[in-house]
Amino acid sequence: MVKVKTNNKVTVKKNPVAEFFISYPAVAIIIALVVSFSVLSPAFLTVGTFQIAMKGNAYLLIAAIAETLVIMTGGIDLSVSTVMALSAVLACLYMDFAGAGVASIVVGLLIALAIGVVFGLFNGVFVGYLGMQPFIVTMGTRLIALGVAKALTKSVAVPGPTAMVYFGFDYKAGIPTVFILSVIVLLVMAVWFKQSKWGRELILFGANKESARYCGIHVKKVEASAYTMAGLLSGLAGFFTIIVLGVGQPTIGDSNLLTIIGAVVLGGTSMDGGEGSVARTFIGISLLALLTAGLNAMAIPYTTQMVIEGLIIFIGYGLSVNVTAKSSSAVK
Amino acid sequence: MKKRVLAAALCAVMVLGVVGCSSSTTTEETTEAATETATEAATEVVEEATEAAGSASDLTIGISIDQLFDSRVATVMGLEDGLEAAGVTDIIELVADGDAQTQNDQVNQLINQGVDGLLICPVDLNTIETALIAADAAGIPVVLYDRDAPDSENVITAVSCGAYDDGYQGGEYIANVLAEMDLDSYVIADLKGPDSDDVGVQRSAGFNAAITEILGDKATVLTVETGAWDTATATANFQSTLQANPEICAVFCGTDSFIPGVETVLTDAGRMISVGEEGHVVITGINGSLEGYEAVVNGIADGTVVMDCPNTGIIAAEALLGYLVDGTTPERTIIVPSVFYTGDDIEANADSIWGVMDLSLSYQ
Repeated sequence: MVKVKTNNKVTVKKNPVAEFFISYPAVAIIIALVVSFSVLSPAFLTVGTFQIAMKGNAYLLIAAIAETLVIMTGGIDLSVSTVMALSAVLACLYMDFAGAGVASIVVGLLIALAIGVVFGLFNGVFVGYLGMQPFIVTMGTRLIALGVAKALTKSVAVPGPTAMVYFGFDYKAGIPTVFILSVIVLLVMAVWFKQSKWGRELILFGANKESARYCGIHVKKVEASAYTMAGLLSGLAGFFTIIVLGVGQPTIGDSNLLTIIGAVVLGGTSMDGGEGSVARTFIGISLLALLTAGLNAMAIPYTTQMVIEGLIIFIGYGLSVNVTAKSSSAVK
Repeated sequence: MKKRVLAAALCAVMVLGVVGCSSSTTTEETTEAATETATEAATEVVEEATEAAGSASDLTIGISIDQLFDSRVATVMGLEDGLEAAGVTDIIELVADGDAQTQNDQVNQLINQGVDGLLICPVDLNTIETALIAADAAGIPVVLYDRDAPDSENVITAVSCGAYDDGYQGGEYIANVLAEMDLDSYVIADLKGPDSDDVGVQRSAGFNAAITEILGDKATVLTVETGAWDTATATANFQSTLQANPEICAVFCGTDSFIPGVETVLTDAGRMISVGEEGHVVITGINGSLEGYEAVVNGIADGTVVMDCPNTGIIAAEALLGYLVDGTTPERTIIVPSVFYTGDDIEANADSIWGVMDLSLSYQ
């Protein structure tokens, strides 16, 4: 940003590149990581590395979008990952029972979505309408979903339909098809979020609940709808796990929650609500995916990986809090 | 503005530094420096020792480890010994830390790096299948070690310790000791591994088969869930089971790691009586870890099934190299037998028990 004095006026010339990196500081880290890994490991900068990262994170992207919606309200949803797991398990159990076929897969998808909606609606009613703490409510639903998923399967992954397994190996122009589908979901959500009245209400609600109420927004409904939508997307993410992993994995929710929340926050969505976007979440997921891919390409021991990932989260979060926040206040 | 850009630049430098530093302390440089000297001296010997060494030394082998704990470290060290003895120096190891999806990504990464063969211990026997399909499609042979994926057609062999037989040996010992007591009924606790782990399932199945075979209807087996081999869960659940069933006279521990928890619970309940004394609760374990060995030596447990972890690793490595170098296709399943030791013979055989050996736990 350059200040130019012309007679009595002060006009501000913005450097678009600098502005971009200030708005999306995680992108700077991504570039630094790609450069670092490319220099340090010849195995990193290959098409295969990026294909693996895209495929492996396709469902996490959708789950992270779900989490973004809730975090934008200033809340948190701890049940996203286990609802994802339960949806996948129930869909697989049905598809296993019903046998191979398109109709079976379609019904499996509907089951996954329905499970997500049920849990999301439950969270939404308790948080939005009954005013209960999101952390506690979603911790409860997290455990319920996890318990049911494990009880139904005895913690054994349920094999998915062969057609879905092989669909996971499908590529369009070198890009995993499942990742393309995830990006389509991302684009739909981004456009809807930006263009719809609901999206604007959600942002205002997250920024200032009282103001939103005085503006005539039905705040309870808006908050409940965010959790419900998050549930729906969690169900969809669960269906995508079947494509990526080839199974309905009941334990997948155990390990992915922190990755999902980490990606949202690293992308720059504020935990206080009111600021963020699904595009930022895409950046956060990309950062974590490339970090893991690079560390694996270098065969870094996993304990060292944990330390590095922790440091990167500190750096990324520090950047998003300080650089972006100062930029926002400077603009104000 | 300049400050903010500077801050961003500094952070970028830090990222470069973090990643760069980690690499310098880990794999290539250190390994190369260390192996250069050792390899120079050993090369001649190795070349003469094995005919396969000439071609095996050109191979890159990927090892996918489900999770690191004592017995797995022993097996992986066996894998390394087997590979290095044949002249393989290019070994890439990745640890999934118990996460099935992470393991699939890591196996795909190893395929992407162009490894010639894969040695995998699957986290989950079903989830690993997509990674095995990818390896098969890339023409990379896979040998599973320690844990089988029985339904998979995409592996050349699985080398493991024979979980069913291990469980049977533990059950057979308990049943024989109890049979000598000649009681009307016997209540036995089975601290079993998770259903998602074929090893846990098979050990429990083997144990139950032996009990039924020897004690018949007189025996009642109470299954105690232990989560994912979690000692805290095992201890808590066993405590509840013992409170509800104080007549428990024997405990089968699916792994030696459960023995200290069982000892604590029995001590709290005033039931911890040493082996050979009146009122002793019969306890057996499986593994061969140091804690299992010490429990038997100290008279807490009656015996433990000692797995041959190092040999399992060596045999798995040899099976893969045999396939790659000589084109030898091994049996679909290779069982490495375990040995049941009691307080009478465990100390005399300490040299052959991996948990007592001087294993350098160098894995991170």
